[in-house]
Amino acid sequence: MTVDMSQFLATFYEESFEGLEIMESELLNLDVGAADPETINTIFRAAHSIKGGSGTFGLSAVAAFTHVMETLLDEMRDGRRDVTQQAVEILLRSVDVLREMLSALKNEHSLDHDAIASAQKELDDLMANGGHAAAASAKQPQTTLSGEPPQQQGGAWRIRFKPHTDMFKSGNDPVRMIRELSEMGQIAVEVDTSALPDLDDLQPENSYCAWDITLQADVTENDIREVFAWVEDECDLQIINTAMSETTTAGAPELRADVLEKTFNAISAKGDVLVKRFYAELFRRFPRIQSMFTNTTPEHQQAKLLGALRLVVENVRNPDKLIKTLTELGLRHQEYGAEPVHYDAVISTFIDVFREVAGDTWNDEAETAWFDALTIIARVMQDSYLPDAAVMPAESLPAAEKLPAAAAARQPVEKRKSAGGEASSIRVSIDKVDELINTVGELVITQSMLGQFGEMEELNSSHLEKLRDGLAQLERNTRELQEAVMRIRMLPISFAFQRFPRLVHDLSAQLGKKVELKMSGEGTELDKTVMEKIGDPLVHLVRNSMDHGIEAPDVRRSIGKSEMGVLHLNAYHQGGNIVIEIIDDGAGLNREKILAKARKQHLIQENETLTEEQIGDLIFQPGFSTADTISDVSGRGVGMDVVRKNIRSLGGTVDVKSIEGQGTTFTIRLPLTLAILDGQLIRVGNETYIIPLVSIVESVQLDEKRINIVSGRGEVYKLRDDYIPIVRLYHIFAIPFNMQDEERGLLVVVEAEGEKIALFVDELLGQQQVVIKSLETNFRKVEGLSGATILGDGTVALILDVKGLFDLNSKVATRPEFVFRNSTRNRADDSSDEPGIAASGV
Amino acid sequence: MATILAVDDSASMRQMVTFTLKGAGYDVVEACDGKEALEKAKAQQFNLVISDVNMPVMDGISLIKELRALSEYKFTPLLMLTTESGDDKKQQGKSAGATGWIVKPFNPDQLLATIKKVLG
Amino acid sequence: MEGVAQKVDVNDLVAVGGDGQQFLTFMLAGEEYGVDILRVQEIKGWDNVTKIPNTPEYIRGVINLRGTIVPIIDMRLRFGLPFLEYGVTTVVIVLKVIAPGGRSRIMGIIVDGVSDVYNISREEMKEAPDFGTAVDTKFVSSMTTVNEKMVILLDIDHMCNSAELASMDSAVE
Repeated sequence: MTVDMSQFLATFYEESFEGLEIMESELLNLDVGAADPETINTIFRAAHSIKGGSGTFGLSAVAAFTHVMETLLDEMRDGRRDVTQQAVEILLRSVDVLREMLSALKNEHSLDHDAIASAQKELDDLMANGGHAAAASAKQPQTTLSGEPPQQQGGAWRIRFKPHTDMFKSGNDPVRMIRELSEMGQIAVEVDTSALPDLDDLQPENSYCAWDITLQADVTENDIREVFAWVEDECDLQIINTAMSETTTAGAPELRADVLEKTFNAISAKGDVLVKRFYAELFRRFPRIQSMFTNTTPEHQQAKLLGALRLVVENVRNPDKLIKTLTELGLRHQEYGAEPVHYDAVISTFIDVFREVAGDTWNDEAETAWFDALTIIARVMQDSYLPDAAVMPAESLPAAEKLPAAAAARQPVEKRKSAGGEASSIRVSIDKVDELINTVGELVITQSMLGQFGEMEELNSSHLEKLRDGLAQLERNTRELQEAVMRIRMLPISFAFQRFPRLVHDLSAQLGKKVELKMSGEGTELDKTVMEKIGDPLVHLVRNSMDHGIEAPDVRRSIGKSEMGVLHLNAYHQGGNIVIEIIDDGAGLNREKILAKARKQHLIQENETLTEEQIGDLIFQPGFSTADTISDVSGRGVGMDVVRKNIRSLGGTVDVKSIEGQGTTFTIRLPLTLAILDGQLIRVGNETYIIPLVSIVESVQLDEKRINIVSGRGEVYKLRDDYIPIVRLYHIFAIPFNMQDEERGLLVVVEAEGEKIALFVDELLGQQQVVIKSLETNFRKVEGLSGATILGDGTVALILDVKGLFDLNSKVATRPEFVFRNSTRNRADDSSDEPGIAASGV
Repeated sequence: MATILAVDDSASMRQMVTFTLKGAGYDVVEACDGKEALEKAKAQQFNLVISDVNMPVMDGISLIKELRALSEYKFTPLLMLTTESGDDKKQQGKSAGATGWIVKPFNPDQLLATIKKVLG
Repeated sequence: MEGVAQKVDVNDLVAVGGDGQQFLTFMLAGEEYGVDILRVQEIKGWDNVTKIPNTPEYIRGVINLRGTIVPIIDMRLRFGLPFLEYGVTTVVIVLKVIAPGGRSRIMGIIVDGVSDVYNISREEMKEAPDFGTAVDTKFVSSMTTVNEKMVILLDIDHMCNSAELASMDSAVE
């Protein structure tokens, strides 16, 4: 049965990234010195799952890397290793590297081998130290340098198998094992029932029998033991090879360190010649091998071989290190596609070339020593191969294409490409899906109810009433369905928050500050798209608070604050918005400094007095930074203006409140979703527009007596104690004027960022939820518009961008010809509709 | 055909195991931790249980212990998925009552071969 | 919102066979223009559009094309030709335009009428002279002659990616 493993990769990547998040946040939670075992266990489990999955799905590089992490964590879990700050830092870095590896593999990018190697080295060094001695060495791979004793192999075996009485209780059945043996070859079985008690004493759940089995099969003792592996401790087992009664005396080959060193040192001056000759000879003898080396230069390859040889000779007395190195080397060669036949080719060529280069120093002893050494090396390397390399990692093997074995393996790689191109997915709680299914169920009922009217010849009044009810029900179902679908896109903000413990941890160290991170309202949900886009602005604000807000520990102490600063991330819903607060208990905004800087940059007049709000607003001006020194963390000039721009592009706002000496609060308000908005439909001329309901303050009938013209600022409308600028959509959008009675016009007062304007419109139409469509998909951004939607009749209506209207109005208001009454009246006169775009110098 | 309970906290492993076993004609029920597995095992008799060892809420060893204590699962084959480095886990599993183990990483063929061995 | 039965299946127009490139041609103020037929998504009748404020006159507005918002450009106005009332032959050719970054967009162009489909080989395409057409030569990729009539082959990517018609910011989704 062939199973294409690549189909599980998408799930594997998704859960691995989640696993990494868990590892990261739990690592940050670890109390060094007094680590909670359950926390370590959670971290261990995540690493363990990634390792298991990567091995199973053929991502050998990931499997090799996670193996060390897993072992470290396992030791910590069992108390065999202390949880040190250093270990936590190294593990955190490893999490980063692993994340990079996985996303590179997922996106078919090449792996950053340097980063992996350096992280691997950190882990290895950590592994080598700090473990409680006995434990550390116990975890070494089970290979020994002397090689395994040769297995007795022969055609005839006698096996005595006597299960312990309670073997059945582990679910094991002797029949299974005998059946398995029978599949190996010719088998004869005798049951020894001598231990059976009298029927009265017999416990049916116990095993009393023993089996004597003769097996004719060309297998090793290990093959046979393998059959009984599960019951090793639950039976007595004797295995005798009847074909080979005498024991072989040939011991395992031994490494002759002295001979190896001597011969190698003798030719060390000629090392370059050796490796050069070696590759030349290898490629001459085995031309097909050459294709495995195409992504490296001969010089590089020669240097690598020489280095490897040195390493082997130098460490020949240090088997632990050697085995580890060879294991890694083996894994890499597995990726290159090296097969047993290749090792044989290399060994024979190498010996021949060595003999040739070594000259007089070469003798039989040397030849045997090197042959044995290379054979053992080859075996250790091949032992390290991971099973099931059918799905080869995409980053390896560029050169191996020409090898037939590799060619067969290419298909899954190609297939994975298409999987990698998949759209991102979200995890949805089952409740939300159930809700969806329920709603669809109701919809089906409504549909069948309405369907019967279609079959009627004619409708009477009672039918009509039912039809109306049905339509009302349909409307409700549709709305519920829409809401349920939208809820699927909603994710808790913890997804955006979860990176902050790490960030704060790293930044604290970098800035030499002590900061405690508090988070609340993590369960507050918002749309996935908004979530993805709010990440960067949030990071920026947190960095800003860490850098400029919270003071250094000594400063804090000197002013009577606790050394530990507090950074609080809070989220909650308010109306149709999500509010995110970044609160610090630091120094607060320095009013004087901001004012001085603003004056210097001519953002404000010398003597201008500003409200707190306006001062806060200054820090969002482009290029504004009050940092005395530019630090790595923030204050490179790209700053708060970008934050505000990004938040605005999401239809949100950001503002800042601050009390000097006590702290700063940044408040971000965002729409819950970008896909849908509650809109007020309005008519201007023949055009229909949509105003987001959230920005409407009130609507009033226009009273001409309340219009005042302020020189230079255009018209304002006196509403209670306010003077609100009037914005005529006719004017700023250059719409042909066709209104008969101006008195019937309406003013819709809208607000953005604390400012109000009154939009002059002809008529308020209905309110409805609209699905926002981008104008930029096929067209471009248009000032004053945030998008478009499709109305019930299929036509397109444009959605107004209130903030954009402010800006547009201030541009249009400065036009010289602008005098409201005349301009609109004039246009009414010559409203030559088609081709429609009335020229007005726009 | 035999019904198998596959227990693993990793969705991709569950997917792979289920896909492989269903492809071979077995009925498969999934559980993502020991607790869920135990509930499902009580509700329905399985011919075989394959369980990961390291899982949240209830690990594989505890699951095997609990299952073995149920009269319905006294003799049912219970297999653990362990890693090659998990010798002590194998021992723990055995003493909890596991029938045997499958070493991770494994491929579908190895999985099926083992299952066939046990279920005959 | 499809308007009159003006929808033409492009496949009906395609003459199969031959090498070279196939062009759909349309009429505009008595001259014949061609666009790469592989870029033509569909041809539909003129229907009302929603006007976009503060855009050049040649951008007539946007329509709803199966749920996406598609801008519609009047080619006469785009080329500075006199406006012609839309009539029964007026059609909108919906085109796929590819921006320099490789992002593709859908746009509609209003033309006087669809003319024909020609198979034009590379050799038949001549560089556009600097005179004789109403069209700015920067939008012309080449010219050719079919049955002794001149056909102007347009570079629609160039024509439809000006700042007026597309967000230059490649980061825009």
